[in-house]
Amino acid sequence: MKAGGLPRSKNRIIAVMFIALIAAMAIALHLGRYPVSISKPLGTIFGGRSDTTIHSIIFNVRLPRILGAVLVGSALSAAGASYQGIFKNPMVSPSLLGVSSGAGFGAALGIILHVGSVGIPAIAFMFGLGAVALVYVASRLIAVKMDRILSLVLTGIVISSLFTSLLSLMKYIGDPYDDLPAITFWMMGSLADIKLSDILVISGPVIIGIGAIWAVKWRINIMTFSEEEAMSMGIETGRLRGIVIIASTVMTASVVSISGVISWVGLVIPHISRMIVGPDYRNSLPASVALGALFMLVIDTVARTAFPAQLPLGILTAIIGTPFFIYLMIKGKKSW
Amino acid sequence: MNKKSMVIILIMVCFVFAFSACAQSTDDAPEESVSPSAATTPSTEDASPVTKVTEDMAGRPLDLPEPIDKVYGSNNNSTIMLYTLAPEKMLGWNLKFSDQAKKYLAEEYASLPVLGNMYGTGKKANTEEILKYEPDVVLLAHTKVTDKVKADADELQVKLGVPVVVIEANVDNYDKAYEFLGALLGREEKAKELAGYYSAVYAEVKEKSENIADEDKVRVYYARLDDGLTTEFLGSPNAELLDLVGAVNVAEGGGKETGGEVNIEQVLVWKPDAILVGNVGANASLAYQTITTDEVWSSLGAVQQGAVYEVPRFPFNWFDRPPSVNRIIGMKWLGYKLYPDVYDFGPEDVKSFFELFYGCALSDEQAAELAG
Amino acid sequence: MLKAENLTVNYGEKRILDSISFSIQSGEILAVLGSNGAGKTTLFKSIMRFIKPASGEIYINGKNVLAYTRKTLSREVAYVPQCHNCTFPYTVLEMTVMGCQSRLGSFSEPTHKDYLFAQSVLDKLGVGTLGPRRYRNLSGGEKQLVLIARSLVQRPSIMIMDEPTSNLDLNNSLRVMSEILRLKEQNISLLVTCHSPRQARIFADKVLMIKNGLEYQYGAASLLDDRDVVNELYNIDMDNFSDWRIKELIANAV
Repeated sequence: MKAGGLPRSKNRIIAVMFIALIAAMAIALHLGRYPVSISKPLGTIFGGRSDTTIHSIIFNVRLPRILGAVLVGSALSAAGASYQGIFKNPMVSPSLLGVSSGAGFGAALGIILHVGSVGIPAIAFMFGLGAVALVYVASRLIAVKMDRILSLVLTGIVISSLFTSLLSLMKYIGDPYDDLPAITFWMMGSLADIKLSDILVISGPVIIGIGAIWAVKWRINIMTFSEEEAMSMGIETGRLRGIVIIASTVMTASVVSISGVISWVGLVIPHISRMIVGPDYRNSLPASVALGALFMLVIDTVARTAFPAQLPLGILTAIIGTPFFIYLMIKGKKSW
Repeated sequence: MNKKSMVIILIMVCFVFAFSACAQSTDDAPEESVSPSAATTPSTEDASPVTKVTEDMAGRPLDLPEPIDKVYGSNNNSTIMLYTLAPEKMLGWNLKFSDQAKKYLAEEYASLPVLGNMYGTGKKANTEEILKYEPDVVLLAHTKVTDKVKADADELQVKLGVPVVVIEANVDNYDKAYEFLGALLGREEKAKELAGYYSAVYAEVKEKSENIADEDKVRVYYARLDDGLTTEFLGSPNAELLDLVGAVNVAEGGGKETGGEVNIEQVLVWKPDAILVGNVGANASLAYQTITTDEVWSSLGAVQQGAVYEVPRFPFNWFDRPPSVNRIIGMKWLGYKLYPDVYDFGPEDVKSFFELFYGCALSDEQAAELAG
Repeated sequence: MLKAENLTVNYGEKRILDSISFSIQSGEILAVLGSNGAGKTTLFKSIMRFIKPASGEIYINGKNVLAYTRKTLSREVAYVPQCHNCTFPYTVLEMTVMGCQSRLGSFSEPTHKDYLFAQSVLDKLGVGTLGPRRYRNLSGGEKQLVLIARSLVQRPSIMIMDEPTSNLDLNNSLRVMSEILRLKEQNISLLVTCHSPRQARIFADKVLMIKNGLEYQYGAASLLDDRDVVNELYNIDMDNFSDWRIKELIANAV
């Protein structure tokens, strides 16, 4: 008996998501604490002359933040989605292997040493990468006695807590009037200091990272089954895991070094995209990227527009995202 | 297997003991003073410390030892006040000083140990370490004494087993605070001098600020941290000096009255007439550089006209953090910066303040440098 | 065809398999029997190149298994695990088409043709209508059939099945067993581990009995007719069982 046929294409839904993202970017350009008339933003972008303050605001404040939010959201979601696949567990986030704790420590170190706005992300990035490299190497040592994935996760937990403690040490060493609040604010997440030059620097790693995962997205489906099944179907599981971990780590370290620690996005956005387009990574990865970018854009726009005081991103993501997520879960009877 | 785990446990136990032994023997080596150009004339009075004080400024009954020779300031404000009044009774500081700050402190006191805070912002002190110095009393100065402050003081008193004396010391009552502390420590005369200086400055500032019409008030944005995008919102006690000198804190927080972050667009909307940069740490000038050179900041009139002022911070911050008696000179400085036609201020004021309060004789150049 | 010669596998210092030799021709079913922990799992892990033997060789269609890459090996040998739950809610068709991975280029993804082929395999197994349903909602037997379908999409000449009917009720067991017989008809070599000597006797052409890692018996399925051999394999001490019902079970198990 024949039935079904090809699974229904989700491409249309995904296309809508990307279109919504672009529309949101255009709208976000018009929003901000400083009053800018409707025609100005797009006019300024596309070359019109306008007063220098507005020009400055559009190019040096809003545009970098918008692009930054898009890069951060898409990187974290792609990393989270791919980790959930290769670790065969929908409850993992991009910080599983310690990249966030490492970057957090690096940033705190940079703040204590007062290396300035260029040095801090650089040190954060290095330590983010370093933490994961350490996990990778250390896990190999204990992998003999247990399976590879378990050893990675375990080592990740240990190294993460090591760097978290070192971060606390930095807080203790730092000047309580200036360094401590600076570290605290950094850890809560903010795109307030982002410049166009930062965008240039991180867009490379993010695009390459997402590209690498995009190239192997189909194979990640197979990785969600047991190691043996995946290997028997022809997947070099170790190599694929390595590619995904490297791509995710580079992406995540880049964005975290600029925006601070932002949780929730990498964990929950992939769930939401699976709820909408299904678990096949050929659909859920693009959807995660689009939704993550869109979500982060909304969050950052709220953070910089709602009140005179700037709200921290890491707090908003959970506060705004969680009710929305619960609503989705209740509304659909779908599983993730 | 059993033997192995026993060995491991033994090693761990040894580690724990080794660490605690090490910790006990580390001492704060006396820090060296950098430049002896500050002549040191600590004020001394032949002490006849018969204290007539029976309760503190929070109304808490006190049972004080006689004499009171060794005093520990539990927070930055109290220690600084103590230093200005009776430095010979100090046991130590709360925070470590930078080398530059030490230049303005008398050498013999600059090298006192850094004990940490038992209250307020700063690194937590080790109770046993404090008690080793056998303080007679512990001071706790707060800008506003509330029930919580009283409760904290009671708790601290129980913890240390030493009387804790609460002082209410704010920008509007330093005279009373000094009088009280003077009576407590048997330094009434010196206290009178300090209180007198303060009263004169305060009265002057109050009078002049009241005469500034609303439409003439200077609107100020207070910039903190390396990017200058952290501020104290309107209503925050940390920025009250602005109010005092007749300026307006532009940072309307929409209900928030403490410190917090803003984004640059918001600063542009506020259009401050002047920017006050107040950082304490080692690279405090990073914010000043950012504000005066960044493209977006340059759209501000305040930046274009050069109305960006770094708060002087030696030996302690003159504006805030900590909100100490240094604000006495701070309010004069601030008034002058914002309203040069209304307030008078010059190196002589700095010199007399430093002479009286810190026993530090400054040269003209040093005074000018400090006053920015 | 599949051939093993003097296969010896260690795990650390422990010897799991010792000098196992056997072969399976096209269209033959080899049943592997042994008590729990005897080494059946290790056996097929070595064939699938999940672990490396200490000594001995395994030949897949004439070529040493170590000469294959994962991908090329997956075109010859397919592994059907015991039916299980999958982490994510894939549909049956989505799961089945994953088998085509073995024949995809490095950066290719399945095409329409691959989906049609997967669907046809499901149809042939009688589970075609399950295509759009979620795998996790199926019954045990249906799940097992889907796993077989996925393996068939790899177009293997050899299939290794790990206790395909252990968790199934009678009807589902029978469905799966008929399917296995059909695979035999398609000249696929089948290595099936199982726990039922009776089942093995009926369906298998050859049997390999492993006891304590050693090749206890190897040869035609008729070897299982000897009850003593079977008792010996599983260390069944008849003196332990006096109840007539237990003795009845034992009699029917062989």
